[in-house]
Amino acid sequence: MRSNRFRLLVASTAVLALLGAACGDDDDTATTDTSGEAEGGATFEFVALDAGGPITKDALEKGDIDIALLFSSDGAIAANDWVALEDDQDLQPVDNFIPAVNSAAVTEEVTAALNAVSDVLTVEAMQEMVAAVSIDGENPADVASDFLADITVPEGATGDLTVGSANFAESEITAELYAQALESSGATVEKKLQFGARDAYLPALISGELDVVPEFVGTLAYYFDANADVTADLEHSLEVSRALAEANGVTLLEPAEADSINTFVVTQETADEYGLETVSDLAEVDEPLVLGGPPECPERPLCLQGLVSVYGLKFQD
Amino acid sequence: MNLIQEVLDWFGDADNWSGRRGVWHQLREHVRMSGVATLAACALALPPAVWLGHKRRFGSVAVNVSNVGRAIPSFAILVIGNEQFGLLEYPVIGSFTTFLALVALAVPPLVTNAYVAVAEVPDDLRDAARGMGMSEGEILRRVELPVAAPLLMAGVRTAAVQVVATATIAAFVGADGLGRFIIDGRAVNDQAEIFAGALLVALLSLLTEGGLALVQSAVTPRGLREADVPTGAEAAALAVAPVPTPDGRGSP
Amino acid sequence: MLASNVDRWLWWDWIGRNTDLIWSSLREHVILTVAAVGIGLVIALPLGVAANRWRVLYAPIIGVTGVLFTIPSLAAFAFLLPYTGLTRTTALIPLVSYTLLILVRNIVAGLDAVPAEIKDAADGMGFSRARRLVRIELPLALPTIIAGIRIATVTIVGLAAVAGLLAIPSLGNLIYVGQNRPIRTAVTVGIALSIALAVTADLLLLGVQRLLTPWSRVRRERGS
Repeated sequence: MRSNRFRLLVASTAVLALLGAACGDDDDTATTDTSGEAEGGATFEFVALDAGGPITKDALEKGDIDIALLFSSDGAIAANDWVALEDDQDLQPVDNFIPAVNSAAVTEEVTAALNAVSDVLTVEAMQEMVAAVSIDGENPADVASDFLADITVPEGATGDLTVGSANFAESEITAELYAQALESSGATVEKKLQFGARDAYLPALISGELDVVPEFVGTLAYYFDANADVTADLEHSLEVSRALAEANGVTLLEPAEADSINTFVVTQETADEYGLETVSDLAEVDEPLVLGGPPECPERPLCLQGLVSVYGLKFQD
Repeated sequence: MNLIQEVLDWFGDADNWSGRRGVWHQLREHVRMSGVATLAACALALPPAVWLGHKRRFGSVAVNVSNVGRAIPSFAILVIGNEQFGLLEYPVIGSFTTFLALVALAVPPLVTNAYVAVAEVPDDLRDAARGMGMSEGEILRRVELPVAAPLLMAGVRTAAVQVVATATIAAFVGADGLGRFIIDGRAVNDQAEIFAGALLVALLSLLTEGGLALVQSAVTPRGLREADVPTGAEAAALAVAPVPTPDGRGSP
Repeated sequence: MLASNVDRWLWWDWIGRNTDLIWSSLREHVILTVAAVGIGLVIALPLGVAANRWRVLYAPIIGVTGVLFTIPSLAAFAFLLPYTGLTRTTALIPLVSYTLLILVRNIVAGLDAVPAEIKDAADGMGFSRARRLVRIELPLALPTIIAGIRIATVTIVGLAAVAGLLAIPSLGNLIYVGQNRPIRTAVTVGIALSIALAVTADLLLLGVQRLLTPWSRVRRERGS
């Protein structure tokens, strides 16, 4: 018995020692300026959350972060009376919705049907539909059919087409629009919504498992080439994206007006307190605010790096 | 085998080890989160479970809580916790969301194993102890607990490994820990970082399992040493309602 | 914060309007679970039989499956991503490996519990080993084996949700998508369906066990 108790004592001591080491203070948290010379403005902090998703939005709502990186099409912005800071220095490239079609499935009629959707997909229309799904709990299929009820889609599309989508409302809604437009044009459509993330559905699009997915002019290019030259110029970015897509067997049709670009968002209270309307205004803030964004933000020119180099903000390491 | 070379390079890069996002920091965080949560869960779950086992009351609840607990996606608990508490932090326990989720997930295996371990102490031992004039508390302390110790410890092992695993996912709701390498790596499609993170997580889990195996053998009374004592992972297979076997003996 | 409906734990209207999303998530989850346990069983049976027949194999088999079981699912997914991509296969492989430990252990325990006298009697009657295994030992081991299948199934139902982190269709994905909308009811539904699925599967398998082994019921009735 005694040797057992002894062993137990040793074991518990070891466990506690391990915990003690774990609880020990971190001396190696550096707080270096990553910007250098910018004067005025406090040093902000960055917290890695998710890409404009629920974690980030919850954090903004609770006040755990002051600035959130969201997407311009997010219904939560309007619903919460949040303020989307204007990108006055044009840091963000375009990211218009655009139908991405497996090149083998492209026909004149399919193109016409899908472009008919792009033609009427305005920013307001998208925001309304997203709000209907996100806030009012509508089914994306119903929202899409309501929208299409007022449009005439050219007929003539034939064959079997599979339409896929990603996991967020904007993608599902747009995919429903494409699917229903193709159906009313005459094709037989199978829907595979909620297919997964881009690295799931794009290979499927390339392989032909999916024929049509909603994509974005800007971010699609980055998937093929992390250094793609996509800018705030729609024409130029279209060229770049189209070239990259074609090289992989994907055809991009006509872009819609609606887009979903990176947007820095603050609550109404924060905007009022610091007089924030544009992203440049952040450089004048003299208190250390917290930015919440996707984990890759510090390494992205469109995210933290851009805030530092274009807007002159400062961040803790 | 380019990936292997990249992973080795990643480990070789000193920058990846130091600083707020380095291996040491994340490892410490991970161990701290897991350790604190497991201890808290033990403190919360073991005393009532052991007592109930001694009394042999509410057995079906104790045993079935594990079954239900197993079916709840750990990810969901984190999501709910994040909705309620966000990035709220306290000293020592850190992110409250993660703490709560980890404790909630650790409790079921602890309860089930502790209960079964104590309840299954052979009747003749208990009767003999009563015959010798021991009080209820003494019976529990000197007879039941030592005999129950191995299976109970197996439950702690199961809980601990489960906690370490879930602490990995906690990175999804903004927490630190080894999971950060996997989540952050995926975000920038850095294959080496993802793989390195996964390796570290796997190693930590195995170390936890193995380390607690030593503790388990430490608490196994000499007399039971030879018995077929289950490993922590096997205890996961055992923590279920006794199933009649052809010869009438229930398992576990 | 606006629209309180979004925060409701049970917003029935939303459920009614979005049954296709709920149904496809549930369906995918069931497919994942059944596939994982099914494939696991196919792999575990020979392993278990071997470990029972050649005792020396028991420790290494349990060791390897134990190690696999200990690797957290997210890490396992991460190991596989470069090779199998972001597909259902990536989720399936770790899930199958998680079932192995549970199934093998229960198969061995079940086979071990077959009384020696019965095995001797079968030998005496001229049964070959294979026939003895299939006609005598496995049926007698069935309750324990099915108990293992039950545990494995319930475990996989809970674990498969992690696939949602990789946006693979499943109840986990329903939870994530719902949270992103943000509709809290989706999270509730995801959890509730997960539990319901586990309980249903458990009861179904219990029923199968009772059906396949009527003699165990008889023994119990005789007050053993």
